[in-house]
Order: sequence, then C-alpha cells, then structure tokens
Amino acid sequence: MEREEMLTLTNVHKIYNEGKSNEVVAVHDVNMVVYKGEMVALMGPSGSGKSTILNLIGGLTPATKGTIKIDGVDTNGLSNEEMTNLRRDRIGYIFQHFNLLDFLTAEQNVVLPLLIQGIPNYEAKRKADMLLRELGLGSRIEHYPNELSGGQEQRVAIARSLITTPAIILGDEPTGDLDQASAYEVMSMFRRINREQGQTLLLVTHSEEIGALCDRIIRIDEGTIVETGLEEN
Amino acid sequence: MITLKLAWRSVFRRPVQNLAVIIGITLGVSLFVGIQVGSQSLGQSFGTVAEHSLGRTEAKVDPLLWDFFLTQETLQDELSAINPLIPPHNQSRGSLAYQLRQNESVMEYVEALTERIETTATVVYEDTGSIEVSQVVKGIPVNETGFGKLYNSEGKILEISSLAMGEVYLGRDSVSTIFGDVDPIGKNLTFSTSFFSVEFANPNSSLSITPKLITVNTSVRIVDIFEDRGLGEELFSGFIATSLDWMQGMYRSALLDARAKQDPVEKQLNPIIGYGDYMINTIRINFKDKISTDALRDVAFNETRDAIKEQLGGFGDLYIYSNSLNDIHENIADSIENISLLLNVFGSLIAFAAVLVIINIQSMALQAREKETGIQRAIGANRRQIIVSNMLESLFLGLIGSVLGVGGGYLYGEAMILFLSWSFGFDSSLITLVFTTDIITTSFFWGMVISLTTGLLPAINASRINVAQVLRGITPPQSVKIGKKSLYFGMLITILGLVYAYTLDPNPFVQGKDAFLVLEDSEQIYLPIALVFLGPSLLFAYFKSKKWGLTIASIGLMSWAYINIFVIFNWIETSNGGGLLYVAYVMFSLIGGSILFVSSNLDTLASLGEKTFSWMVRNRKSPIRGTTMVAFRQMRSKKVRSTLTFALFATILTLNIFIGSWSYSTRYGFDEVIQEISGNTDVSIISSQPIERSIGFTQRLMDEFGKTDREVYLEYMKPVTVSKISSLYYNTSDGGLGEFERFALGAVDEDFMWSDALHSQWQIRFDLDDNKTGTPFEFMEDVQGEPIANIEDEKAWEAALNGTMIDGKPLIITETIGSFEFGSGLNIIAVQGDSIYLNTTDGGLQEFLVASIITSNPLTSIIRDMTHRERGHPTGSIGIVARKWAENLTMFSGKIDTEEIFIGKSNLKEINDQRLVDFLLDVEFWANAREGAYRKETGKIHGVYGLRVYSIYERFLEGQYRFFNFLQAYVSLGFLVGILGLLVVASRSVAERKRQIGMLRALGFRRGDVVASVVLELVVTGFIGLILGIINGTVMGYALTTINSNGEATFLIPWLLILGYGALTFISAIIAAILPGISASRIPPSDALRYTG
Ligand SMILES: Nc1ncnc2c1ncn2[C@@H]1O[C@H](COP(=O)(O)OP(=O)(O)OP(=O)(O)O)[C@@H](O)[C@H]1O
Ligand SMILES: [Mg+2]
Repeated sequence: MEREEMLTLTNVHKIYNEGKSNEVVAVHDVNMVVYKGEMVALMGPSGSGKSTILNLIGGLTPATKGTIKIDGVDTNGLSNEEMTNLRRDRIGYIFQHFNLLDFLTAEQNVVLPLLIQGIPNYEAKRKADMLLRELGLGSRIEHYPNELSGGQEQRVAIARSLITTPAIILGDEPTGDLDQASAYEVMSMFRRINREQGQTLLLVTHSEEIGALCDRIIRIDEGTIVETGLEEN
Repeated sequence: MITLKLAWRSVFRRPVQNLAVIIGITLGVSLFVGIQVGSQSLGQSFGTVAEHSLGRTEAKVDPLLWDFFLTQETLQDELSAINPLIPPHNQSRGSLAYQLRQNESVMEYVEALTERIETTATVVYEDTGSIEVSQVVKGIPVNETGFGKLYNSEGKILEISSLAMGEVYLGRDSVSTIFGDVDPIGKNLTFSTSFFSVEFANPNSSLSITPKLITVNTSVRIVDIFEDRGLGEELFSGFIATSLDWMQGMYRSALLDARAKQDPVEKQLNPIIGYGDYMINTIRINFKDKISTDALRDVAFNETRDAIKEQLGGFGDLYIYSNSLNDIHENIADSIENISLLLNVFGSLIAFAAVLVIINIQSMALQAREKETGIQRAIGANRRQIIVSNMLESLFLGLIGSVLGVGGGYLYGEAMILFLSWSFGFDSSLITLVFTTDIITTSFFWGMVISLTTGLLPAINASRINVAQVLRGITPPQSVKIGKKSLYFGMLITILGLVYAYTLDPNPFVQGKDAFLVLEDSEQIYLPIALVFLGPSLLFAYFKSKKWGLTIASIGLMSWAYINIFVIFNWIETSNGGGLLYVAYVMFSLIGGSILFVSSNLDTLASLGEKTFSWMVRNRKSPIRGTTMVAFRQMRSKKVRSTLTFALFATILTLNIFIGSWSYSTRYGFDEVIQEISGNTDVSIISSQPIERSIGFTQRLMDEFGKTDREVYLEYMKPVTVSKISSLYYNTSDGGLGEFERFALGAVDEDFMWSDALHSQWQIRFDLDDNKTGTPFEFMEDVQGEPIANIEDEKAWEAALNGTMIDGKPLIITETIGSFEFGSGLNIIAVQGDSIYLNTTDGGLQEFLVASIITSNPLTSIIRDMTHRERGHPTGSIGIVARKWAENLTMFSGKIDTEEIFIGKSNLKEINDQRLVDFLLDVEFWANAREGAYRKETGKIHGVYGLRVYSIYERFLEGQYRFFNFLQAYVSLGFLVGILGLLVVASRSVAERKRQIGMLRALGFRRGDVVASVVLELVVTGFIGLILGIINGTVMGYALTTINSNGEATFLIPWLLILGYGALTFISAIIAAILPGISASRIPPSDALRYTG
C-alpha cells in the first residue's frame, strides 16, 4: 500500500536533564510513522512519554537524537524561525492542561492564530465565530476562560487548533476533560474534518473507547513504542 | 514551630520573587533615608556655608553709604576745625577700633575686633583692555588676628605684612574674569577706586554739605594668588587683598592732592576736607566663645553698638550695625523651612513611587500566594498559622530590605550631597552628612510597615476566600456597587467635611476671593473642599457602580486642582511659606486624580487604544496584529499591575516635567519682560570715570561701532546722567512714611523723550537724534492715578521732563519699586499726584510730586547694576527728573560737563544674543587697552565697560538656576529609582507568564513576536504614564511659573525636554521589557508550558 508519510520519526530519543542526577529518558529510540489523512491515537500509561512525543513533533522541544520529518521536511534542518512558521501554518495544537490564554476571550483565543498568519481581522473573526458556533459555543464567544467550564475550554482549544486548517492536529488528551457524550461529539467532529479536509490527526488518549474511534492506535510504554497498529508489525 | 518552618520554606521556595521584594523594599527604604539625609544635610550645610561666608565675623559696622569712611575724627570734628561755632566732638586720638578696645564693657564680650577698608575698585588689565568694574578690594591690617587667613595653591599662608606698597594678592575667583588664560603673577593692573569727601555748600551757616567724589588711580602688582580655602570670609576668593596701611595712605594723598588742586576761591567757600589718619569703613567683631547663644549675642551686640554710637556722637546713625550671625541664623531658619518643605513634598512623591514599586512586586506574588494558601488550607492549616507564617516571611523580607535600604540610603544621601555642592557651588567638605538614628529608625519602621501590609494583606484575603475557587484560579467576582454601610460612612465624612469647611477662617464661603489672598492662611481650605467631592462620588458608587464612583471622585479631585491653578492662583498675592504646602496639595490631587481616573477607566481607554493601534496596523501581513491584541489584552487583564506601573511613570514624570518646565520658563520666560522693561535697549556703556562732554564720546563710539557693515553694530547710543543713591520716602497705605535705602535718580535732557497720548494708555517714546532705524523705544505707564493739580497726564509727563514745578514742588517719574523682585511684595504705594521725599545731603528732605509711575524704564538695567555693586542692600528703584532741574539741587551731583552712562541698542533682535558679549569686549579693548584706538587717541583710561542689559537679569536669576539645577538633579534621581524599580517589576512580570509565552510559541509566535508583545505592553503602559506626566507636569509648571513670578514670566513649554522624557520613557520601558522578554522567549516552549509560577 503506497501511502504518503505525513509524520516520520526515526530513532528519536529524548533525554531530559542529560548527564545530571535527575536524568530522565522520556523517549527511547522511537520509530513511528503517521500517514497523510490518518487519524491516529497515541496511548500509553502516565509518564510513558506521550506528551513528550507530541512536543517533539511540534518542535516545542528539541530531540536529543534522531530525525523527525513532517510532510517530508526534516525538522532538524530548520532554523528556530522556520520551525515556528511551520508550526504556525501547518500544525494545530491542543494541550493537556491550561489550554487557553486567560486574558483573552474565547473568540480572541481562536482568532489569534489567524492574526499572526496575517489574515485580515474581519475575516478571522467571521471564521472564528462560525467555528465556535459549530462547536456549540455560540453563546460563549465573549467569555473569558475562567468563565467557562473545563469542557467548554477544551472545545475552544479545539476550535483554535482547527481554525488555521492545519495539515496536522496534535491533541494531548483533547477529550480528557469532557463527559462521554461531548467526547464522542468532539471525536465525530475530528472525524468529519479528517474526512472532509483530509487532515492528519495524532491524538493522545487514555480511553480505549476513544482510541477505538481512530484509524489506528500506537502504544507506548516507558518511552518506547510497543505497538504501531500497522499490519506489518 | 510548623509555622516557622512554613515561613522559612516559602522564603526559599520563591527565591527570585522574594529577591525582587527585597530589592523593592531596599529601593523604598533607600529613598526614605536618602531624602531625609539629603534634606537635613542640606539644611545644616546652608547654615554652615552661611556661617562660613561670615567667617568669624559675628557683628559688623558698615557705613550707610558705602564710600563714607568711619573715623574717630568725625564730621563734627572736621566742622569744628573750620567753624569755631561748632564745638569739637572732643575725643582722644586713635582709631574707632582702638577706642573700642579701650572700652571694658565692650571688650567683656569681644574676642577679636578688626578694622578694614572694604570697597570696590575698577581694575583694568591694559594688555587686553579687559575690565572688572566692581572688583572687591579688602584692606587688611597687618597685625590682624582672629579672622581669616589667605592660602596660596601650595598651602602657604600669604602674609599681608610681606606686601610692599602697591602689591596685592589676587583671589582665584577673580583670575579668569580679568586675565583669562594669562598667568597673573607679576602682572600689573590699573587700579582705580573712589570715595567721598565732603564739600560744604556754606561752611559758615549750616551742615549743608555735599559729598564730593575723589578718585584714586594707581597701579598694583599681583604677587600671588590665594585659593578658596581656610575658614572664614576668605573662603570665597573673589577679591583683591592688600594692606590697610597702603590703602589709607593712598586715600590720604589723593585727598591732599585734590585739596591742593582746588581753586583758591573755591577752597575758601567749599573746601575739601579729609577724614584723618585712620579712615576705615568697616569694623568686624568676633565675640568670645562663651557667647554661644543667639540671645547672649544680642546682648553683646547691643552693648557694642551703643559704645560705637557714643564714640561717633550724632553721626552714629550714619552707620549700619548688623548682628550678622544672628541675622543669618534667622534667614537660614526661614529658607531651610521652605527648602526642606519643598524637598519633602517632592521626596514624598518619589517615595510614593517607591511604594508603588513594592506593591507592584508584591501584587505579582498575589495569585501564586493565594493558590498556595488555598492548598495549605486544603491540607488543614488554619487561618492563624497561615497568617503568622506569612507575617514571619514578610518580616524577614522587610528586615533584609530595610537593612540594605539604610545602606543604600546612605549612599543616596552622599550622592545628594554631591549634587548639592555642585548645584549651589558649595565646598562639599563643608557639608556634613546628617545620618541620625532617628532617620534610621523611622525608615526601618516604614520599611517594615510597607513590607507587612503589602505582604500580609493578600494572605489575609486569601485565607478568607473559598478554597475550591482559589485552587481553580478563580478570583471571586467583586461586587459592582458599594454597600449601604460604606455609603453612610462616606456621607458622614462628607458632611463633617462640609461643616468643617464652613467653620474655616479664612472662609471662602464668607469672604469669597479674599479667603485665598494669602496662601499661608488659606492652605487649610484645600482639604475640606477636596473632601466634599466624596459625597457625589459615593452616591454614584452606591446607585451606579464603584467604577462610576471612582471616576466621579477622580474628576472632582482634578477639577478642584484645575480650579486652583487657573482661577484661585490668580488671586494670590504671596507665594512663600505655607503656599508650598498648598501647591503640594494641588499636585497630589492632580497626580492622584489622574491616576484614579485612568485606572478606573482603564478598560475603556485600553480598548480605545487597542482599536486605534490595530486600525493603524490593520493592513499588516505580519503577526503584529496578534502581538497588539496580546499586549493590550494582557495590560487590561492585569489591571492592578498596569495601574501601578503607569502610576509609577506618571508620578516620576510629573515631577520631572514639572520642575523642567518651571525652570525652563524661569530661565527664558522673562526675556520678553526684560525687553519691555528695558525700553528695548540692550546695551549700556558705562565709564568708571566721568568723561568730559567735549570729548564727544558718543560720536566717537558711533563712528567706530555704528558702522552697519559690522556683524554687530550700534543703532544708537545716548548719554544719560544717573545720580547716585538717595533714600526714598513714600507714603504708606497706613498713612505713615516708608523708606527705601536705595533710590537712584536719573536725570535726562528734555529732548530725551517725549510723550504721546495713545488711547487710555500713555506711551513714552525715546526720541533719539541718532535713531537710525526709527525703532521706537517704548515704555508703558500702567498706573493711572489722580491728575496733578490741573495738569492732565500728558502734560504732567512733559512737565516732569521739562523741570516744571507745581506748588513749588518738582515733578518726578518713578518706577514701581520691586516690580521685578520675586515675591518681595515691595511696591511703591505712591500714585500719580502723591508726594514722595528724597533726602538731600544737608540732612533735609525734598518733596516731589509723582508725575507718573512707569513699569518699563530703559534706565532700569543701569540702576540694577549699580545696586548689585552696592552689595547687601535692598534693591531700589529709579526716578527720572529733568536734568535741568536736577542740577539745581546740590545733592544730585550730575555735572553738566561730564557724561558717564550711555544707553543704546544694537542691531541684534534678541536681547539675550550672546554675540553682544564679544561686541562689548571689542568696545572695552577699543577704550581701555594700550593698543585700543580710543585709548591711544585720548591717552587716558576712563575705565569704559560694556554691560549687556540682559546680564543684569542673568545675575539676578543665577540663584534661581542653581536652585533649579538642584531640584532637577533631585527629581532625576527619582527617575533613576523609578527605572530600577521598573526593571525589577518587568522582569518578574515576564518571568511569571512563562507558561503563556510557551503557549504563544506553540501557536506560532516567533521569538521576536513574543518579545514585541511584552515590549509593546510596557511601552503602552509607560505611554499612559507619559501622557499623564506631561499634562500634570506642564500644568504644575504653569502654575508655579505664574505664582512665582507674580504672572510676569511667560510660561514656555519645554518641548525638547518633554521629547527627551518621552524618549527616556520609551527607552526605559523597552529596556525593562526587552531583556526578560528575550530570555523568556529563549526557553523551549515545552519547558515554558510546564511553568506554573
Ligand atoms: N521538562 C521535563 N524535565 C524533566 N523530565 C520531564 C520533563 N517533561 C517530561 N519529563 C519526564 O518524562 C517522562 C514522560 O513525560 P510525559 O509528559 O511525556 O508523559 P505522558 O505520557 O504525557 O504522561 P501523562 O499521561 O501523565 O500526561 C516522565 O517521566 C516525566 O517525568
Ligand atoms: Mg501527558
């Protein structure tokens, strides 16, 4: 099966505090592929290195060793600014905790990525309002994060990650704070955009049910991939 | 024990945070200490410097008129020698000082007593023609003890006894003015000085005498130079020191010479008589050390004065007796009170800024601390434990900060002393640093209080609120309105304020305007009225919202300040003493009100700013719009922080721009007034010795310097005669007779001016034959009074200038006395038609009728220069009478055949054009130098010197500049502290939001964008402060310029300075934000995201 690779991690290592007494090997020799248009779940016990892998892919932290290719581009060869631009234009991020900027309203949080891309204000606003309404937050547009429930916050974060229609969405437990019904709703939305716009999604989750909704599950334990979910393995 | 542990832990749990707190407290305490050390040292040093200027002279006897000499052979003896009807004064030989030394009741108190001649001479260095017309010369007895000594640059004592005849020591201060770069040792100076002899109008009938000026011309050789050092008067080296014997001998031979040359008939009728062998003109007394109190010194002084008066007989009243040390103590006490009040007002504002810094830093810890408190409570710590542990922590931080602060304050105080001595020209070794335990304890106290309140209050707050909410980071919504209790309480205060305001005395409700006439009495009006604004604002806070309440309160405060500045200040007549406190209230309300206004409306203003700014960058493709949104929103969300920061800027900038614009206006705002007052003349040329009319000095001068091909040339020049000094008596408003000691009479030809009726105002124009351009000299008459007899105003002018009399009284035109004195409050009360009296040399009074009073007068500069040279006396005024008439009176010694003062106008537009300096040097060379054309032609040195009219005011304002320099330095130090505080605040506030920065980076903010957003936020905050600072500072500058000059100075906005402060604000905001911004943007985003504060 000839499929285009969207994300390729080859022999990736991440060691925190290398050489110090509190050294932690968070990721050890990870090889991993996510194909274009795939919706993949990344699962593993707490502390197994899931968030670290997302951070490595997003270029939020440098790898100790190994190569990470995004859409064929080797991120090792990118300057800090190039990496930032790549992130800005091609990657959508949903964090595990404290997802929103608390001094901005829901709408402004969503609008921000568009503004820094240089999209005109009115257009950015229109897009954001539409998206927020779609996510059932039409009545919360002007609210600040501390006036939202955890689930609502998470949905705003999702909206923010979707707004730039990035090629890849990295979600660190995007449904973690949601009740089951909302979790399924969000997942079906992910699935919809995945189908309609061909976006690639890499989602960390603890829930087998949520994982089952994805195309495949990559399992990780103590920093190494234990299952890729691909048939060859 | 647990609490102690908790406290100890938290100190180290947030090391950076706490370090910042310590720095903040250190800054604050440093300021407290520095300000107190500075102002107290200043106070003391004023005293020390003033005492030093007296040297060991504690009491002094000076002649009423400078050039009369004290002698034991009093005038009475002189008279009796000529007229046998007058009995001799009958006293033994020997100088007055000698007589005093014989007097036991005097010597009981006196330690040392010296007699000297102190006078001024005109000295010319003939190589360059450079001239110093009012060089102070001191003739010092060879055996003088108990007073100052002179030292040369090698520290050697220069003995008067080793001077030969005609040799002098030159003081360091005088070197450069006379010699420029030339080494003066061994050089000769042409030296000319004059004194009065007495000429009898009619020796057989009465005491009708005329002082006769005798001039001495000689040459002196400079043997050595003495420096500014040593105790006493000799500290200030701006004089020539020579031996008393030599001076006495010189005067005596000049007198004999004049007598010998006198026409034999004249000699019979009006003989020149001398003063005998021991002429001196000043006696200085140093009391015994046991007289340490002012009261005892008074007793000693009175005793001595009485003894001298007895010696001098009826002529004792011709001398001025000064209880110098006590006088100085009194003066100093007054000025210290004012200055330290001023310093404290400004100091408290700077300290306020420091407190803002501390609160700012402490408030940053607020959320973290609240959360921590929440956790502690969740795991079972009780409120008491939490509060105690926080208190211990605050105490600990406060302690460290205060200790460091006291040290810092000491350094700050030292720095202030340096500024002080630099700006006031003191010798810094004279200034002792006042560093008392009092200062230390109070500063410590305040350091702890601030540390405790700013550290503990949030903890108490946090310990009260809902644990669950705190843990979620939710700040409980504040109630929008105030409660009934606060309303009632506030209303009560308002009513009390009203009642209090109504019982005030003076009372604006009863007296209206008049209540404000004297600021010193009316300062208590300010606060009660300010309090009245509380009422309406509380109503708004109760019925609408707190925000409305604050807005109304701030508007109230500001309007009251503005009403004061633009209305009430115009009613005020004096501006000293308590006025300063009143002005301080105004300043506090302006600053407080504006800060309150902006902070309660920060949302509206920031969103307005954001809209404007994003509109400006709306078409940019760059991330700038995202950056803008983040910056503005961040600012709005951290309302307290932003308020504290812009308030810091606002306070410091208000102070700086206030002082800046005030001093700028004082510096330049008088130019127009000066131009007007001097009747548009800009140069005077004065000859130290009268020049015969036949020489035609004006014509020669115009031939040489009136050529229009010169860069600077004279448009016209006109001789006037200014007769020296008389006393002016005038009617006071209470019906009595007031006296000015110095009053000069200018006598002018009738063709000098003519009057011209122009509407209701009189304009007097100079009508000069050689006025080539036809520019009219104008001077205005602004006081309209009663007509004189039946002569109309216009005719009165003409009559005055023609020498007409009315009812046997001559007419005089006078100037408003003291019109240019800061706050002196001296104003001649006579109006047109009133009588004033001038004393004549025969001891009588001559009555004059005031033809008119003018405010601008081309002769003003001359008389000001004269009074300047006449050191130490109240400045006087000038009256103008017709020359023709003046010459009839023996007391006005204007001679028809000589001229000495010439006034004129150059081609330069600006009165302060510095090119005039060189021009006048050329004139001096032409007239005085060995190679000068005029000197060569006439073969005689008249000692001609040029005077820029403007220089009179420069001298006059010099003291003000020094004061302003000092204030400027003082408040700039505040600026420095503000910037330091800002650095700490900014770095903490950026560090605190690492997580946000991480998120922004994850969303695609480049490093530069992150830095830009942080910088923009602080720049915008600083900008708000800048705007407030500019508005408040300029308005305050306007207020002070107006009050301080009684409305005479034009207020000038110092654009360059404001621009400078603008730039400084931006730069400091950028610097403060950029370093922490960059370092935060460097952290890998994933690490930043993990940061939890
Ligand atoms: N910045 C860091 N410095 C040091 N160690 C780190 C850092 N970030 C993560 N670690 C360590 O790396 C390991 C992997 O952490 P990571 O956050 O990737 O786990 P995770 O799989 O996302 O866990 P969870 O499901 O709890 O979110 C953990 O042992 C963690 O302690
Ligand atoms: Mg994780």
